[in-house]
Amino acid sequence: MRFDPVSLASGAAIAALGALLLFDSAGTVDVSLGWMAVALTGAVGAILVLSGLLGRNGRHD
Amino acid sequence: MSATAGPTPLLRDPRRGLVAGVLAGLARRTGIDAVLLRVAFVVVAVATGGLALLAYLIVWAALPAAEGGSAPLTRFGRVARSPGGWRVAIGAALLTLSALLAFRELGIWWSDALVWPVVLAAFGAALLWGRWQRGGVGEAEADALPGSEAAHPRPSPDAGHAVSRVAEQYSGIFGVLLVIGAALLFLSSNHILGGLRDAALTGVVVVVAVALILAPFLWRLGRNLAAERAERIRSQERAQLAAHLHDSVLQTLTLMQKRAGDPREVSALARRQERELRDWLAGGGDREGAASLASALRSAADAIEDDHRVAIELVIVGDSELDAAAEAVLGAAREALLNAAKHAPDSGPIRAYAELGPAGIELFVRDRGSGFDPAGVAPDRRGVRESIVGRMDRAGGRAEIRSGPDSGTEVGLFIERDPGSRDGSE
Repeated sequence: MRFDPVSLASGAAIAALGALLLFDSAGTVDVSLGWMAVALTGAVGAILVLSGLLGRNGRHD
Repeated sequence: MSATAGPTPLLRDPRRGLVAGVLAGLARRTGIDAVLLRVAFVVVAVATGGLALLAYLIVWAALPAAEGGSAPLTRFGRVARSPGGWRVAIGAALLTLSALLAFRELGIWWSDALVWPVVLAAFGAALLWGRWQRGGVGEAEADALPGSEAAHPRPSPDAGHAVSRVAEQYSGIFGVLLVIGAALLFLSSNHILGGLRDAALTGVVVVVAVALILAPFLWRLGRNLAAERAERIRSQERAQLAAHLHDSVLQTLTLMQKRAGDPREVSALARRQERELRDWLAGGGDREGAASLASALRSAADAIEDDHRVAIELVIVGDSELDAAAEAVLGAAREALLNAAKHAPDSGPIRAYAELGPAGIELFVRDRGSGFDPAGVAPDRRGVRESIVGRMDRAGGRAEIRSGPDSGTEVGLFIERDPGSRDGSE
């Protein structure tokens, strides 16, 4: 099985977003819409940057 | 301080710096003490509510380091232009947006009416700056001219390059739109747009009128540029054609003059040149590293012609991948051609005809030599028995040999293919 860092990072980011939503629903933390936008744009941006940088090495293009 | 203002370029000096070396580099460039600059920077940062920090970041991104290497912004630009770079660019934009939103949530914020227009304008200016630095504005304009694409076909027509080309062409337009949008957003947010509406309308009318006046001239200018580019490309193609003819045809003609005393060699040279020229005209190019049966057959025929100084007329219809069945046919055909070259060298050209297709392969090799009796071949002669008949049998095909005294020899090779099992071994 080939190690794919982009998939791993993407999965981790999505899992973190899911955990954030879960904690918000459970009332453990109170995440406002503004902070959710911060988390969402940050996660998507990080995934795209990582994917683009590794794709340059021919692993994903 | 030894460094003084003069020809020294402004560079970051991370070795002497506390953070990223921007102020240290500025001190080296201006000759002002770095400590003084740092104190002044802290004062300005506090006075502007942190705006100077943003300026620091921008200068850091734009300046190369004194040790060498390019500026972070330049490196990012190179990454963004590479294949897959659009993901890096959009990702970086999203990360920037995320950071801005975080600052906003934290209260480190100036005003929506200021920050968002500035961010939009910065992105637009970055796009325009990158486009201008690559010198691509003129190229993009020329590409947009009528007929220019047909006159300037570009290499590498794969999807990735096509996407990059589209992104390249539209990044400048997108940058302009971003800057205009930022300006309109700023004016609208600060309630200035209403007062400027009449003036803006006047400006638009003037611009449209000027555009209408200049349109014929601009159109003709564009057409002239496209025609000039097309002529330049035609001239390059003529030069390439002349170079190819010089390297191939003229060299062969010279060789033929030198070997005029050997008609067989002259004939072989002429035929080889003819085939090469036909291949080149058909866009086949060189046959080095043949990957198909047709090109492998041509290479084999060429080699036998050269080695044995015989003429081989090879006609091929279709083509086929060089799988196990094709390898068997190739080996058997090579043996048949070789036999004809060895045993009928002076009986006129050897003729070979091949039909190559996905359903099967048929190939005939015929010479007008003295012929032989296939049944009378000695058991220890393995050329026909093993290299042709046996080889075809093992690959699931068959070989038919028709020969007789003074009637020449014809070798027929046949193999049918099952589309579902092309990997049969010989």
